[in-house]
Amino acid sequence: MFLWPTTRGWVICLSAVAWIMVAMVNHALFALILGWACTALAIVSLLCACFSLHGIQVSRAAGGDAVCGQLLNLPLRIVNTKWRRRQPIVVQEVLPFAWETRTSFVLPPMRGHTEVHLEREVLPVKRGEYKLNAVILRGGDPAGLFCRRRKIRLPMTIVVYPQLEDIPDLRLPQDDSFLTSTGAPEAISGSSQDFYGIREYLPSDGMRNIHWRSSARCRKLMVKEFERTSMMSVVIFLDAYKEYVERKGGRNLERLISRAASIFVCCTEQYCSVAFASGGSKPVVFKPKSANEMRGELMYHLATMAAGDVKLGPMIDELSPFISPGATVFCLRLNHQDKEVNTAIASMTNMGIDVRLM
Amino acid sequence: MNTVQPRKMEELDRISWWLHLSYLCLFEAGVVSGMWQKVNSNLCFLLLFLGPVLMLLSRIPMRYFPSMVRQLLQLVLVGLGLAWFQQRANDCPLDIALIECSGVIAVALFLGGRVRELGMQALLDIAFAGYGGLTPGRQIYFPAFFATCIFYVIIMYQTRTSVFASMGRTVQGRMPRFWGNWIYRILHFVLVLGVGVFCLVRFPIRDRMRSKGLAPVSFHSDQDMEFPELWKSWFSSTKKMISRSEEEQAVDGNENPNTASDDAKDMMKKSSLNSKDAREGEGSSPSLGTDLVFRAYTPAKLYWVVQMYDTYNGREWTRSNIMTQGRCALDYYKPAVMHEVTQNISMEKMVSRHLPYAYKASQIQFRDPNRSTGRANFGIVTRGDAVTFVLKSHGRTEPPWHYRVQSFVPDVNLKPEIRAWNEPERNYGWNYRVLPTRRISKRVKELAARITEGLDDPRAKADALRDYLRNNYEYDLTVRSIPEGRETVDYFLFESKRGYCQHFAQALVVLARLSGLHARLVTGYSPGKFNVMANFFEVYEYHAHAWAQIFVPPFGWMTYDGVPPADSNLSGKQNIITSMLDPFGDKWNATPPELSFTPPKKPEPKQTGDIKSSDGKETPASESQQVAEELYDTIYEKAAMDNNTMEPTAEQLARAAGGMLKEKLMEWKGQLMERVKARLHSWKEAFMARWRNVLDWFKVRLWWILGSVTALHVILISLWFNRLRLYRLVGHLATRYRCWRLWKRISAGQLEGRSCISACQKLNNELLALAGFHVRPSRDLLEKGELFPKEASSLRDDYRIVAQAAFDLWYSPHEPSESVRSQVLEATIRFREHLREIGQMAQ
Repeated sequence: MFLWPTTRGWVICLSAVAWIMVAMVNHALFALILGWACTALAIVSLLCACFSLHGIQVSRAAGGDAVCGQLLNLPLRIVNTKWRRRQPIVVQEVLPFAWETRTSFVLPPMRGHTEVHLEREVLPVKRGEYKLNAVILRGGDPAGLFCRRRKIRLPMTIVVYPQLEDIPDLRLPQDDSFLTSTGAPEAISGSSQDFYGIREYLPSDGMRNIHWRSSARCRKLMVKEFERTSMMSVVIFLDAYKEYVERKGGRNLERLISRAASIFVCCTEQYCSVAFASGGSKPVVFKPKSANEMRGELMYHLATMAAGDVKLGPMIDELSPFISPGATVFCLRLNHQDKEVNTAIASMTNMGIDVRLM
Repeated sequence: MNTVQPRKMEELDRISWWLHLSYLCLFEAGVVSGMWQKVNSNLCFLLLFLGPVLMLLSRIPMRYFPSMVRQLLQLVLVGLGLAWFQQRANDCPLDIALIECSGVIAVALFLGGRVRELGMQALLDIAFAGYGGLTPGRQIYFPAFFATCIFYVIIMYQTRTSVFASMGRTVQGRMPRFWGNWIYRILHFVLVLGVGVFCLVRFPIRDRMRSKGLAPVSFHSDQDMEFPELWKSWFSSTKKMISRSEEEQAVDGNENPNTASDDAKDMMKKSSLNSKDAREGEGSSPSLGTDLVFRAYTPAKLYWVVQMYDTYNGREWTRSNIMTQGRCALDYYKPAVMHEVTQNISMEKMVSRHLPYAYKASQIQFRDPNRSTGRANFGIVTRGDAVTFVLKSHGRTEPPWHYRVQSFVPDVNLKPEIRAWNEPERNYGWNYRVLPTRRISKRVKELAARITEGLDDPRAKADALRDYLRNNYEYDLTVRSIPEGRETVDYFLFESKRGYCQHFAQALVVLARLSGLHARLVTGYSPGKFNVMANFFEVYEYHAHAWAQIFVPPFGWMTYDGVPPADSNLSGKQNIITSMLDPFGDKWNATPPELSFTPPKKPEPKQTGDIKSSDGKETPASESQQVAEELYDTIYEKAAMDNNTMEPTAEQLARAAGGMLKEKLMEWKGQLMERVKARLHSWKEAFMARWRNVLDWFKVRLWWILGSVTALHVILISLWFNRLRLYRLVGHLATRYRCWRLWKRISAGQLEGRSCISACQKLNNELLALAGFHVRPSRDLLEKGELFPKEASSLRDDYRIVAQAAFDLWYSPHEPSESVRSQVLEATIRFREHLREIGQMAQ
C-alpha cells in the first residue's frame, strides 16, 4: 500500500507551510487563518486517505478469451467487507493488448457489506497470449489531496485471437454433394444409409438428422452421421518469414494471420477437414483433420505465432503428400517472388488442386 | 450483487454544468477578493463580465467551435494581458500590474473547456484570494474570500475521482451518484473545520513582533505604508464612464462639516484650541459625530495628542509661554534609551488644522500626493508651538491626507538614576506644578496627601492617583455641568463623583501637582479601534478624549488616563478572541501606554566565546556556552591522557569523544535499566498488594459470597426452566398495558377520524388476544368476525362494525364520516364491556 500527495495535495501542503511561516514572521491574522486552514485540510485528508481502501477485496470474475477488434469484458468482483460506505474508487490495470494500455474504471460508491460486479470492456488490438498481473486500486480522501494506491495480485492468462474478417466471396467446393428435394446441399452430414455414429450438431445440419435421445443424454443437439460423408478439404499455408514482414508493426503479417483465422473459422462453420502449415519462428504443420477438432490448437497457434526464420516452402513440401486432389488450398504469402513457394504452387496446380493465392 | 456498466468516454470528457458553474463562481469570487477596490475598476468589471460569457462559449460543442479557434482566442487574450501589463507597470506598483495581467490570463483559460485548464485557473483564483488577504480591510473581502474557499472545496470534492483516474490515461466508468458522496464530504469538511479551529486556539498569534516579514505587502513597494485610497473612489471612474456624470465624493457622513466645505471656516473660527473651559469638555461623545477622523498605522497603541494645557486658574486651562515656546527643560527631556515609533496617519476628515500624533514626536512629514488620481495636495506641516503641529496649505486641501510621524518612547527597562544633587523645585518645570492655591480646596489637598502617603517614587504616586480615580469614580456622559462658582475638581471629587474624561483628567492633573509631580492636561484622541484584519487603528469622532501627562523620571512624560477602562483586563492575560480583536492587549491599562510598547527584536549576533555588545564590552557567556566549553575540556584531557600527548589530533579527539559518548550511553543505559526495574518492581509490589487485599476480602466474606452465588444460580436455573411461562406472562402484561394505553387515548378523545378507527380495531384485537381468542394469521380482518361462538353474537356484531370501518378506512380512498366514527366508538365500548363481563363470569 502506498500513500502520496496528489498535485493539489502538494499545493495545499506547501501553502500551509508558506502561510504559517508568513504569519509567524509578518504577524498577520489572515495569514495565520489561511495557514491553519490549509494545515487542517492536509491533516484530515491524510487521515481519511489512510483508511480509504481498507477492507476492499477484489477478485476476477469469470471471463473469457478475446478476439481482436471485439470488445472484451474483464469483469471484477469487488467486495466491501466493512460496514461503512465507500467513496468512488478508481480501478486501474495495465492491459498490453488493449487500445489504451493503462485503463481506468471508476467504481461508484459502495454501501457497507456489499458486492459489486464491475464490467470492464476493453478493445483488444494486439493478438497474443498475455499474462495479466495485478489490478491497482486508487482511493483517497474526499478532497483528492492524498492518493492511496493498493496493488492486488490477480494473475490471469488471456489469449487474444486474431481479428476475424468477413470473407463474402469465400466459396468452398463441395465434393460429392447430394441435393435434397429442397435443393439445399446435404453434403454436411452425408446421405449414406450406413449409420456411422453421432456427432455434435452444426448449424448447417438438417433437423431430421437430429438424434433426440443422445441429445437429451448429452444435453446438446447431436446428429446422426453416416458412412459416406462428404467433407470439404481445405489447406491453409501461411507465410511468416521475417525477411518479408514489414518493419513497422508487421501489418502485412497481421493481415495474413487475420485472413487465415477468418478462413479457418469459416471452415469450422461448415463440415470441413483442414490442414495447416506455416513458417515463422517455428515450423508448424497440422495434418488434415476435422476443423472443429483442431480449432483450439490452431487458433492458439495463430494467436501466438511470430515471424521467424522458417520459410513456407519446406512446409508446403511436408504437407503436400496429405493434400487430396479435390482440396482447396489457400496460400497466404508475404512475397510473390518466393521461388520455392511458386514452384510448390505450380506443382499443385498441375495436380488439379484448386490453389488460391492471397 | 450489482452489475455496473461503464459509460462511453466521449460522454465523460465533457465537463458537467455543475462543475463548470463551480469554476465560474470560484473565478468570480477570486476576482472580487483579490481585485475589488485594488486594481483598475474597469478591468475588474470587465473580467467579471467576461467570465460567464467565455464559460458559455466553451460549452459550444467542438464541431462548431474547434479547439484551434479556441486556442487562437486564448492566445489573443494572453497577448492583450501582456500588453496591459506592459502599460500598467509604469503607472502603478508592480504587483497590481501582475495581478491584472493574471486576471486576463485566468479568464482566457475558460475558453479551453478542459479540466486541466480549469484546474490552473482555480490555482490562480486561490492566488488572487491570497493576494487580497494582504490588504483585507475592504468590507467585501471576507465574504468573497469565504466564497472562494467554499467553491474551491466544492470543486475539490467534485474532481476528486478524476484526479485519481488521471494518473492513468482514460477515464471510463459511470460517475458516482451525487448524493452518495456527500456524507463523507460533509464529515471531512466538519473535521477540517474542527481541526482548524483547534489549531487557531492552540497556536494563536502571540507576542507582537513588528517586522517586515517574509512577504510584505506589494513587493516592497510603498503600498505597505499607504492606505488604499482606491477603496473610497475606486468605482468612480467606471461609474463616470457609464453614467457620464461627475461623481460627487461624499467625504463626510453629513454629521459635521469638514475643511472641504465652506462652513468649515466658520466652525474653525469658533472652536479655538488656545484655551479650554474647565467646566465643559470635548470628551462627551453625544456632542460629536460618528465619522471616521483618521486611520493610523502604528506598531504601538498610544494616545493621540492634539493640544496641551499647563496653566489652571480654577476656571479654565490655558497654555503658558514657557510651554508653547519650549523653554521648560522637561519638554525636551530625553530618556537614556528610546525606541522609535513610526506612525503613518491618513486624515479622512479634518476637524482642525492641528495634526494628531503620538507623544513624543520629533518629526512630522507630509507624504506624497496621490499618484493615481494626479491631484496635487500640497501641505506643509509646521510647529504651532513646542508641543503642537499644524498643517498649513495654500488654498483648499481635501482629505485624505497622509503624513508620517516619528515619535520616541522610553525603554521600559530604564532604571532611575541616582543623582548627586536635587534640582531645585521652583525653577524646574514650575509651570507644570503651579496651582491656584486659593481656588483649590483644602480637602482636595488632603486627599492628594492621603493617596500618596508613604510613596516616594513618582511613578508609584502617579499610579496610585490614577488607580484611585479609576476605582472610586464613575464614568458618566450625562452628568450636569459644574454649578456656577464651584471649583471643578472639588465638585467632581467630593460632590458628584461622576463625570467624563475632562473631569477625570483635570482631577488627576490637580492631584498630581498637589503630590509634587509635574503634570499637564492633554486633549486629543484615545488610541481608537484596531482593525485587526487591516492592521491599523481607526479613530472616530467619538474617540475624542482628555487625559493627563505626568512627568516620571527616568522615562519622561507618561500618559495617565484616570477614566476607568471598560471591560479591561488588568492582569494582562488574554484569550484567543480578545487577542485576535486587539493584539496589543490591555497591558496599557495597567502601565502607561508608552511603556507597553515592545520593539521588534533585533537578530542576535554570533556568539564566539564571550558575547560582545555593540559598545565593545564583553559580557559573560551563557550557561550553554559554559557547558560546551567544559565538555570540550574533558574530551581534550581524555584524548591527551589516552594518547600521551599534549596536543591531540582531531582524530584522537574524535576517538576520545566517541569513547566518552559510549561510556555516557552505557551509563544512561544502566540508569534507564535501573529505573525500569525499579518501576516494574513497584508495579509488581502494588499489584501483589492489591491481589492480597482482594483475596483477604474474599476470605472474609467467603460464605456469604458462596451463598449468594448459589442463590443466584438457583434463581437463574428456575428462571430458565420457567422461561416460557415468564415469556407468556410478560407478553400478557405487555398486552394489557397496550390495551390500557389505547383505551386511555380513545376514551380521552385524543384521536380523531382515521387514527381513532385504527386504534379501536387494534384495541379489539388486543382484547381478543387477552381473552385467549387466538386466530390464525391467515384469516383476514373480516373473517375473524365469523369465528366468534354463537353465544357471543353481540360481540360478533360489535366486532364486525369496527372491522368493517377499519377495512373501509384502509382500502378505500374515502375519509370516514363522523357518524361512522361515533358508531365505531360505541361498538368498541360495548365490545370491551362484554368481554369484561365474560371474563368475570369465567372467573
